Amino acid sequence: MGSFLLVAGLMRAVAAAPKIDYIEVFLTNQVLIHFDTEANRTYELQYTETLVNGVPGGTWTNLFTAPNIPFPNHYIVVDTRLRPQRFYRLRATP
Amino acid sequence: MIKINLFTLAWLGVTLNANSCDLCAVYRAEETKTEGGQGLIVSLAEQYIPYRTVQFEGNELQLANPDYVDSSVTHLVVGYDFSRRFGISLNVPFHHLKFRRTDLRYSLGAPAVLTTETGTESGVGDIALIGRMLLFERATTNSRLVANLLAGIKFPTGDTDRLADEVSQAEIYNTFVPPGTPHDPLGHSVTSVHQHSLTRGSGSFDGIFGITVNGRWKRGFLAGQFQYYLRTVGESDFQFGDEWIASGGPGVFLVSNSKMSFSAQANVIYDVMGRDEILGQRSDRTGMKALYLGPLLNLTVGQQFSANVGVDLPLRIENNGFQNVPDYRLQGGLSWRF
Repeated sequence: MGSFLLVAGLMRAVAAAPKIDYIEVFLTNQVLIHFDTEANRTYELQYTETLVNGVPGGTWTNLFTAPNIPFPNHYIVVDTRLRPQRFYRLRATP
Repeated sequence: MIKINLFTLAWLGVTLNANSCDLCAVYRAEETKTEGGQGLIVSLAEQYIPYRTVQFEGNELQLANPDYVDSSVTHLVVGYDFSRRFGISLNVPFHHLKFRRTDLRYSLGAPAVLTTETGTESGVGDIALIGRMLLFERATTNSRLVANLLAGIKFPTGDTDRLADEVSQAEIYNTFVPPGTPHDPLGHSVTSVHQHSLTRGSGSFDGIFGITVNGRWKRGFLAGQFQYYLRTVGESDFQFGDEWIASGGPGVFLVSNSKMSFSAQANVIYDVMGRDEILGQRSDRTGMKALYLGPLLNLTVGQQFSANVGVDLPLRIENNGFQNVPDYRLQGGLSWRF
Protein backbone atom coordinates (compact mmCIF):
# COMPACT_ATOMS: atom_id res chain seq x y z
CA MET A 1 0.00 0.00 0.00
CA GLY A 2 1.06 3.59 -0.50
CA SER A 3 2.86 5.54 2.20
CA PHE A 4 1.93 9.13 3.03
CA LEU A 5 4.04 12.26 2.93
CA LEU A 6 3.01 15.44 4.72
CA VAL A 7 4.00 18.42 2.60
CA ALA A 8 3.03 21.99 3.50
CA GLY A 9 0.02 20.82 5.39
CA LEU A 10 -1.29 18.64 2.56
CA MET A 11 -1.47 14.88 2.71
CA ARG A 12 -0.22 13.41 -0.56
CA ALA A 13 -0.32 9.76 -1.40
CA VAL A 14 2.95 8.37 -2.65
CA ALA A 15 2.72 5.35 -4.90
CA ALA A 16 4.44 2.34 -3.49
CA ALA A 17 7.19 0.67 -5.45
CA PRO A 18 5.83 -2.37 -7.30
CA LYS A 19 6.78 -5.57 -5.57
CA ILE A 20 6.49 -9.28 -6.27
CA ASP A 21 5.22 -10.84 -3.05
CA TYR A 22 6.38 -14.36 -3.67
CA ILE A 23 6.80 -17.11 -6.24
CA GLU A 24 5.75 -20.67 -5.61
CA VAL A 25 5.89 -23.96 -7.44
CA PHE A 26 2.56 -24.99 -8.96
CA LEU A 27 1.57 -28.39 -10.33
CA THR A 28 4.34 -30.19 -12.23
CA ASN A 29 5.60 -27.61 -14.70
CA GLN A 30 4.40 -24.24 -13.49
CA VAL A 31 5.05 -21.48 -10.99
CA LEU A 32 2.69 -18.93 -9.50
CA ILE A 33 3.79 -15.31 -9.11
CA HIS A 34 1.88 -13.25 -6.55
CA PHE A 35 1.72 -9.46 -6.36
CA ASP A 36 -0.55 -6.68 -5.15
CA THR A 37 -1.53 -3.67 -7.22
CA GLU A 38 -2.71 -0.18 -6.37
CA ALA A 39 -5.71 1.50 -7.94
CA ASN A 40 -5.33 3.43 -11.19
CA ARG A 41 -1.94 2.01 -12.15
CA THR A 42 -0.93 -0.42 -14.89
CA TYR A 43 1.53 -3.17 -13.98
CA GLU A 44 3.74 -5.23 -16.26
CA LEU A 45 5.18 -8.49 -15.07
CA GLN A 46 8.31 -9.24 -17.10
CA TYR A 47 10.89 -11.98 -17.23
CA THR A 48 14.36 -12.58 -18.52
CA GLU A 49 16.40 -15.75 -18.75
CA THR A 50 19.82 -14.17 -18.92
CA LEU A 51 22.30 -12.88 -16.42
CA VAL A 52 24.49 -9.90 -17.27
CA ASN A 53 27.48 -9.62 -14.96
CA GLY A 54 25.71 -11.87 -12.52
CA VAL A 55 22.57 -9.71 -12.50
CA PRO A 56 19.31 -10.44 -14.36
CA GLY A 57 19.39 -8.36 -17.51
CA GLY A 58 19.37 -8.42 -21.27
CA THR A 59 16.00 -8.53 -22.91
CA TRP A 60 12.97 -8.40 -20.66
CA THR A 61 9.79 -9.93 -22.05
CA ASN A 62 6.26 -9.06 -20.97
CA LEU A 63 4.56 -12.02 -19.34
CA PHE A 64 1.40 -10.38 -18.04
CA THR A 65 -0.15 -6.94 -17.89
CA ALA A 66 -2.40 -6.05 -14.98
CA PRO A 67 -4.79 -3.43 -16.35
CA ASN A 68 -5.42 -0.03 -14.85
CA ILE A 69 -8.47 -0.55 -12.64
CA PRO A 70 -9.99 1.79 -10.05
CA PHE A 71 -9.39 -0.44 -7.05
CA PRO A 72 -6.50 -2.33 -5.44
CA ASN A 73 -6.20 -5.96 -6.40
CA HIS A 74 -4.12 -9.07 -5.91
CA TYR A 75 -2.90 -10.99 -8.94
CA ILE A 76 -1.65 -14.52 -9.26
CA VAL A 77 0.07 -15.18 -12.54
CA VAL A 78 0.86 -18.67 -13.72
CA ASP A 79 3.99 -19.34 -15.77
CA THR A 80 5.69 -22.47 -17.07
CA ARG A 81 8.99 -23.69 -15.59
CA LEU A 82 10.44 -25.57 -18.49
CA ARG A 83 13.58 -23.42 -18.79
CA PRO A 84 16.74 -23.71 -16.65
CA GLN A 85 16.19 -20.29 -15.08
CA ARG A 86 13.82 -17.33 -15.28
CA PHE A 87 13.96 -14.02 -13.42
CA TYR A 88 10.93 -11.78 -12.91
CA ARG A 89 10.38 -8.07 -12.33
CA LEU A 90 7.31 -5.90 -11.89
CA ARG A 91 6.91 -2.45 -13.39
CA ALA A 92 4.15 0.08 -12.73
CA THR A 93 2.94 3.14 -14.58
CA PRO A 94 2.29 5.86 -13.72
CA MET B 1 -68.03 6.67 -11.06
CA ILE B 2 -64.30 6.48 -11.10
CA LYS B 3 -63.04 3.25 -12.51
CA ILE B 4 -60.88 1.46 -10.03
CA ASN B 5 -57.80 -0.53 -10.90
CA LEU B 6 -57.05 -3.27 -8.49
CA PHE B 7 -53.36 -2.98 -9.15
CA THR B 8 -52.33 0.54 -9.86
CA LEU B 9 -48.83 -0.50 -9.12
CA ALA B 10 -45.37 0.59 -9.93
CA TRP B 11 -43.49 -0.81 -12.82
CA LEU B 12 -40.44 -1.84 -11.01
CA GLY B 13 -37.23 -2.17 -12.89
CA VAL B 14 -34.50 -4.60 -12.18
CA THR B 15 -30.95 -4.64 -11.10
CA LEU B 16 -28.40 -6.19 -13.34
CA ASN B 17 -28.87 -9.90 -12.95
CA ALA B 18 -31.06 -12.70 -14.18
CA ASN B 19 -34.04 -11.38 -12.32
CA SER B 20 -36.42 -9.73 -14.75
CA CYS B 21 -38.93 -8.40 -12.24
CA ASP B 22 -41.45 -11.09 -12.82
CA LEU B 23 -44.09 -9.52 -10.60
CA CYS B 24 -43.94 -6.17 -12.37
CA ALA B 25 -45.37 -7.43 -15.62
CA VAL B 26 -48.02 -9.32 -13.72
CA TYR B 27 -49.03 -6.19 -11.84
CA ARG B 28 -49.50 -4.28 -15.03
CA ALA B 29 -51.41 -7.05 -16.71
CA GLU B 30 -53.99 -6.72 -13.95
CA GLU B 31 -54.72 -3.11 -14.88
CA THR B 32 -57.65 -4.14 -17.01
CA LYS B 33 -59.32 -6.07 -14.27
CA THR B 34 -63.08 -5.84 -14.37
CA GLU B 35 -65.66 -6.01 -11.67
CA GLY B 36 -66.79 -9.40 -12.91
CA GLY B 37 -63.80 -11.50 -11.91
CA GLN B 38 -63.23 -14.25 -14.47
CA GLY B 39 -61.23 -13.64 -17.59
CA LEU B 40 -58.11 -14.09 -19.67
CA ILE B 41 -55.48 -11.34 -19.61
CA VAL B 42 -52.67 -10.96 -22.12
CA SER B 43 -49.96 -8.39 -21.60
CA LEU B 44 -46.88 -7.29 -23.45
CA ALA B 45 -44.43 -5.22 -21.44
CA GLU B 46 -41.00 -3.79 -22.05
CA GLN B 47 -38.25 -2.70 -19.69
CA TYR B 48 -35.24 -0.85 -21.04
CA ILE B 49 -32.32 -0.16 -18.74
CA PRO B 50 -28.98 1.25 -19.91
CA TYR B 51 -26.28 0.23 -17.46
CA ARG B 52 -23.64 2.72 -18.51
CA THR B 53 -22.80 4.29 -15.18
CA VAL B 54 -19.75 2.68 -13.60
CA GLN B 55 -19.42 2.83 -9.84
CA PHE B 56 -16.99 1.58 -7.24
CA GLU B 57 -18.45 1.21 -3.75
CA GLY B 58 -21.20 3.71 -4.50
CA ASN B 59 -19.02 6.35 -6.15
CA GLU B 60 -19.34 7.11 -9.85
CA LEU B 61 -16.20 6.78 -11.95
CA GLN B 62 -15.27 8.41 -15.23
CA LEU B 63 -13.39 5.83 -17.28
CA ALA B 64 -11.93 6.10 -20.76
CA ASN B 65 -13.51 2.96 -22.22
CA PRO B 66 -16.08 1.74 -19.72
CA ASP B 67 -17.87 -1.55 -19.96
CA TYR B 68 -21.62 -1.33 -20.49
CA VAL B 69 -24.85 -3.27 -20.84
CA ASP B 70 -28.02 -2.04 -22.51
CA SER B 71 -30.74 -4.32 -21.23
CA SER B 72 -34.09 -4.83 -22.92
CA VAL B 73 -36.49 -7.35 -21.44
CA THR B 74 -39.86 -7.94 -23.08
CA HIS B 75 -42.39 -9.80 -20.97
CA LEU B 76 -45.27 -11.77 -22.40
CA VAL B 77 -47.77 -12.41 -19.63
CA VAL B 78 -50.75 -14.68 -20.05
CA GLY B 79 -53.02 -14.71 -17.05
CA TYR B 80 -56.36 -16.05 -16.04
CA ASP B 81 -58.54 -14.87 -13.19
CA PHE B 82 -60.74 -17.64 -11.89
CA SER B 83 -62.63 -15.13 -9.78
CA ARG B 84 -62.04 -11.78 -8.13
CA ARG B 85 -60.26 -13.63 -5.38
CA PHE B 86 -57.93 -15.94 -7.33
CA GLY B 87 -55.86 -15.69 -10.48
CA ILE B 88 -52.76 -17.13 -12.09
CA SER B 89 -50.22 -15.77 -14.58
CA LEU B 90 -47.45 -17.19 -16.73
CA ASN B 91 -44.65 -14.72 -17.35
CA VAL B 92 -42.28 -15.36 -20.25
CA PRO B 93 -39.38 -12.87 -20.49
CA PHE B 94 -37.35 -12.33 -23.66
CA HIS B 95 -33.95 -10.81 -22.99
CA HIS B 96 -31.89 -8.75 -25.38
CA LEU B 97 -28.63 -7.49 -23.92
CA LYS B 98 -26.11 -5.43 -25.83
CA PHE B 99 -22.79 -5.20 -24.04
CA ARG B 100 -19.07 -4.65 -23.95
CA ARG B 101 -16.85 -6.06 -21.24
CA THR B 102 -13.09 -6.24 -20.74
CA ASP B 103 -11.87 -8.90 -18.36
CA LEU B 104 -9.03 -11.29 -17.63
CA ARG B 105 -9.41 -14.84 -18.83
CA TYR B 106 -7.56 -17.43 -16.77
CA SER B 107 -6.18 -20.83 -17.67
CA LEU B 108 -4.12 -23.34 -15.71
CA GLY B 109 -1.13 -23.34 -18.02
CA ALA B 110 -0.53 -19.74 -19.08
CA PRO B 111 -0.86 -16.20 -17.75
CA ALA B 112 -4.34 -14.67 -17.82
CA VAL B 113 -5.17 -12.74 -20.98
CA LEU B 114 -7.04 -9.46 -21.04
CA THR B 115 -9.85 -9.70 -23.58
CA THR B 116 -12.60 -7.35 -24.70
CA GLU B 117 -15.89 -8.90 -25.69
CA THR B 118 -18.57 -6.94 -27.51
CA GLY B 119 -21.85 -8.51 -28.49
CA THR B 120 -25.44 -9.34 -27.69
CA GLU B 121 -27.24 -11.95 -25.65
CA SER B 122 -30.78 -12.73 -26.75
CA GLY B 123 -33.40 -15.31 -25.93
CA VAL B 124 -35.93 -16.56 -23.46
CA GLY B 125 -35.17 -16.05 -19.81
CA ASP B 126 -36.51 -17.77 -16.73
CA ILE B 127 -40.26 -18.34 -16.97
CA ALA B 128 -42.34 -17.63 -13.87
CA LEU B 129 -45.71 -18.93 -12.76
CA ILE B 130 -47.40 -16.62 -10.29
CA GLY B 131 -50.63 -16.95 -8.37
CA ARG B 132 -52.75 -14.12 -6.98
CA MET B 133 -55.08 -14.08 -4.03
CA LEU B 134 -57.27 -11.18 -2.96
CA LEU B 135 -56.54 -10.60 0.71
CA PHE B 136 -58.79 -7.68 1.48
CA GLU B 137 -61.26 -5.45 -0.28
CA ARG B 138 -63.45 -2.72 1.09
CA ALA B 139 -65.30 -0.14 -0.98
CA THR B 140 -67.63 2.80 -0.55
CA THR B 141 -68.96 5.27 -3.10
CA ASN B 142 -65.86 7.48 -2.85
CA SER B 143 -63.20 5.15 -1.64
CA ARG B 144 -61.72 1.73 -1.96
CA LEU B 145 -58.98 -0.27 -0.28
CA VAL B 146 -57.63 -3.46 -1.85
CA ALA B 147 -54.80 -5.77 -0.88
CA ASN B 148 -53.49 -8.73 -2.85
CA LEU B 149 -50.98 -11.44 -2.20
CA LEU B 150 -48.84 -12.79 -5.04
CA ALA B 151 -46.64 -15.85 -4.88
CA GLY B 152 -44.96 -17.98 -7.48
CA ILE B 153 -42.04 -19.93 -8.76
CA LYS B 154 -39.41 -18.98 -11.28
CA PHE B 155 -38.22 -21.92 -13.34
CA PRO B 156 -34.69 -22.44 -14.72
CA THR B 157 -35.58 -22.08 -18.40
CA GLY B 158 -33.09 -19.42 -19.42
CA ASP B 159 -29.63 -20.14 -20.79
CA THR B 160 -26.93 -20.35 -18.11
CA ASP B 161 -23.73 -20.77 -20.14
CA ARG B 162 -22.31 -17.49 -18.88
CA LEU B 163 -22.87 -18.46 -15.26
CA ALA B 164 -21.11 -21.77 -15.84
CA ASP B 165 -18.20 -19.96 -17.48
CA GLU B 166 -17.91 -17.47 -14.63
CA VAL B 167 -17.81 -20.26 -12.06
CA SER B 168 -15.22 -22.19 -14.09
CA GLN B 169 -13.00 -19.09 -14.11
CA ALA B 170 -13.43 -18.78 -10.34
CA GLU B 171 -12.47 -22.45 -9.97
CA ILE B 172 -9.26 -21.96 -11.94
CA TYR B 173 -8.35 -18.90 -9.87
CA ASN B 174 -9.11 -20.79 -6.67
CA THR B 175 -6.52 -23.40 -7.55
CA PHE B 176 -3.90 -20.62 -7.56
CA VAL B 177 -4.86 -19.28 -4.15
CA PRO B 178 -3.07 -20.92 -1.21
CA PRO B 179 -5.48 -22.90 0.95
CA GLY B 180 -7.06 -20.85 3.69
CA THR B 181 -6.25 -17.51 2.08
CA PRO B 182 -9.26 -15.20 2.24
CA HIS B 183 -10.25 -13.90 -1.17
CA ASP B 184 -13.33 -12.84 -3.08
CA PRO B 185 -14.79 -15.59 -5.28
CA LEU B 186 -14.84 -13.05 -8.11
CA GLY B 187 -11.23 -12.11 -7.38
CA HIS B 188 -10.27 -13.31 -10.83
CA SER B 189 -12.34 -10.61 -12.49
CA VAL B 190 -11.44 -6.97 -13.16
CA THR B 191 -14.55 -5.98 -15.11
CA SER B 192 -17.55 -3.93 -14.02
CA VAL B 193 -19.81 -6.21 -16.12
CA HIS B 194 -19.51 -9.75 -14.83
CA GLN B 195 -20.69 -12.82 -16.67
CA HIS B 196 -23.58 -13.26 -14.22
CA SER B 197 -24.82 -9.84 -15.33
CA LEU B 198 -25.32 -11.18 -18.84
CA THR B 199 -26.97 -14.48 -18.08
CA ARG B 200 -30.53 -15.06 -19.22
CA GLY B 201 -31.15 -17.73 -16.64
CA SER B 202 -30.12 -18.56 -13.11
CA GLY B 203 -30.44 -22.32 -13.30
CA SER B 204 -32.39 -22.20 -10.06
CA PHE B 205 -35.95 -22.62 -8.88
CA ASP B 206 -36.67 -19.35 -7.11
CA GLY B 207 -39.52 -18.18 -4.94
CA ILE B 208 -41.40 -15.00 -5.80
CA PHE B 209 -43.55 -13.24 -3.23
CA GLY B 210 -45.41 -9.95 -3.24
CA ILE B 211 -48.01 -7.93 -1.43
CA THR B 212 -49.84 -5.08 -3.11
CA VAL B 213 -52.01 -2.48 -1.42
CA ASN B 214 -54.03 0.10 -3.27
CA GLY B 215 -56.17 2.75 -1.62
CA ARG B 216 -58.34 5.32 -3.39
CA TRP B 217 -60.27 8.30 -2.13
CA LYS B 218 -62.23 10.24 -4.74
CA ARG B 219 -59.72 11.08 -7.50
CA GLY B 220 -56.64 10.44 -5.43
CA PHE B 221 -55.00 7.12 -4.75
CA LEU B 222 -52.05 5.65 -2.90
CA ALA B 223 -50.41 2.48 -4.14
CA GLY B 224 -47.72 0.43 -2.48
CA GLN B 225 -46.14 -2.94 -3.01
CA PHE B 226 -43.50 -5.18 -1.56
CA GLN B 227 -41.70 -7.91 -3.51
CA TYR B 228 -39.31 -10.59 -2.33
CA TYR B 229 -37.26 -12.84 -4.60
CA LEU B 230 -35.95 -15.86 -2.75
CA ARG B 231 -33.02 -17.25 -4.69
CA THR B 232 -31.76 -20.80 -4.46
CA VAL B 233 -28.61 -22.50 -5.70
CA GLY B 234 -28.52 -22.67 -9.48
CA GLU B 235 -26.13 -23.34 -12.33
CA SER B 236 -22.71 -24.59 -11.18
CA ASP B 237 -23.64 -23.82 -7.56
CA PHE B 238 -23.98 -20.12 -8.36
CA GLN B 239 -26.59 -18.51 -6.14
CA PHE B 240 -27.90 -15.03 -6.79
CA GLY B 241 -28.52 -12.94 -3.69
CA ASP B 242 -32.07 -12.53 -2.50
CA GLU B 243 -33.73 -9.31 -3.56
CA TRP B 244 -36.49 -7.24 -2.05
CA ILE B 245 -38.20 -4.21 -3.45
CA ALA B 246 -40.52 -1.77 -1.71
CA SER B 247 -42.26 0.83 -3.80
CA GLY B 248 -45.24 3.07 -3.98
CA GLY B 249 -46.53 6.59 -3.91
CA PRO B 250 -49.49 8.88 -4.36
CA GLY B 251 -51.37 9.37 -7.60
CA VAL B 252 -54.37 11.08 -9.10
CA PHE B 253 -56.93 10.18 -11.75
CA LEU B 254 -56.69 13.05 -14.21
CA VAL B 255 -59.46 11.61 -16.37
CA SER B 256 -62.05 9.19 -15.19
CA ASN B 257 -65.34 8.38 -16.77
CA SER B 258 -67.28 5.36 -17.93
CA LYS B 259 -65.18 4.98 -21.10
CA MET B 260 -61.66 5.57 -19.91
CA SER B 261 -59.35 6.61 -17.12
CA PHE B 262 -55.96 8.25 -17.06
CA SER B 263 -53.86 8.43 -13.93
CA ALA B 264 -50.48 9.78 -12.91
CA GLN B 265 -48.47 8.56 -9.97
CA ALA B 266 -45.28 9.62 -8.25
CA ASN B 267 -43.44 6.44 -7.50
CA VAL B 268 -40.59 5.84 -5.06
CA ILE B 269 -38.70 2.56 -5.28
CA TYR B 270 -36.19 1.07 -2.88
CA ASP B 271 -34.44 -1.99 -4.26
CA VAL B 272 -32.06 -4.14 -2.22
CA MET B 273 -30.06 -6.92 -3.89
CA GLY B 274 -28.10 -9.27 -1.70
CA ARG B 275 -24.62 -10.51 -2.44
CA ASP B 276 -24.29 -13.44 -4.81
CA GLU B 277 -22.68 -16.67 -3.70
CA ILE B 278 -20.11 -18.41 -5.88
CA LEU B 279 -18.65 -21.79 -4.90
CA GLY B 280 -20.18 -21.40 -1.47
CA GLN B 281 -18.62 -17.97 -0.86
CA ARG B 282 -20.35 -14.59 -0.84
CA SER B 283 -18.86 -12.03 -3.19
CA ASP B 284 -18.34 -8.46 -2.01
CA ARG B 285 -18.30 -7.45 -5.65
CA THR B 286 -22.03 -8.08 -6.04
CA GLY B 287 -25.23 -6.66 -4.60
CA MET B 288 -26.48 -3.13 -4.25
CA LYS B 289 -29.08 -0.85 -2.72
CA ALA B 290 -30.85 1.63 -4.94
CA LEU B 291 -33.40 4.39 -4.49
CA TYR B 292 -35.39 5.61 -7.49
CA LEU B 293 -38.08 8.21 -8.08
CA GLY B 294 -40.19 8.61 -11.17
CA PRO B 295 -43.57 9.19 -12.74
CA LEU B 296 -45.89 6.41 -13.73
CA LEU B 297 -48.76 7.00 -16.15
CA ASN B 298 -51.61 4.62 -16.72
CA LEU B 299 -54.41 4.60 -19.26
CA THR B 300 -57.39 2.28 -19.30
CA VAL B 301 -59.98 2.15 -22.05
CA GLY B 302 -63.17 0.40 -21.16
CA GLN B 303 -62.60 -2.78 -19.27
CA GLN B 304 -60.56 -4.51 -21.95
CA PHE B 305 -57.45 -2.42 -22.54
CA SER B 306 -54.80 -0.65 -20.54
CA ALA B 307 -51.45 0.94 -21.28
CA ASN B 308 -48.77 2.30 -19.02
CA VAL B 309 -45.44 4.03 -19.18
CA GLY B 310 -43.01 5.07 -16.50
CA VAL B 311 -39.44 6.01 -15.82
CA ASP B 312 -37.32 5.54 -12.70
CA LEU B 313 -34.54 8.01 -12.06
CA PRO B 314 -31.86 6.92 -9.60
CA LEU B 315 -31.51 9.14 -6.55
CA ARG B 316 -28.82 7.04 -4.92
CA ILE B 317 -27.22 3.69 -5.74
CA GLU B 318 -24.89 2.08 -3.23
CA ASN B 319 -23.23 -0.83 -4.96
CA ASN B 320 -20.65 -3.24 -3.65
CA GLY B 321 -17.34 -3.35 -5.47
CA PHE B 322 -16.95 -2.42 -9.12
CA GLN B 323 -20.21 -2.59 -11.04
CA ASN B 324 -22.32 -0.95 -13.70
CA VAL B 325 -25.56 0.53 -12.41
CA PRO B 326 -28.66 1.87 -14.22
CA ASP B 327 -28.58 5.32 -15.80
CA TYR B 328 -32.37 5.18 -15.64
CA ARG B 329 -35.11 2.60 -16.09
CA LEU B 330 -37.81 2.97 -18.71
CA GLN B 331 -40.86 0.76 -18.85
CA GLY B 332 -44.14 0.48 -20.66
CA GLY B 333 -46.77 -2.08 -21.39
CA LEU B 334 -50.04 -2.97 -23.05
CA SER B 335 -52.70 -5.28 -21.63
CA TRP B 336 -55.84 -6.77 -23.05
CA ARG B 337 -58.56 -8.55 -21.21
CA PHE B 338 -60.79 -11.08 -22.94
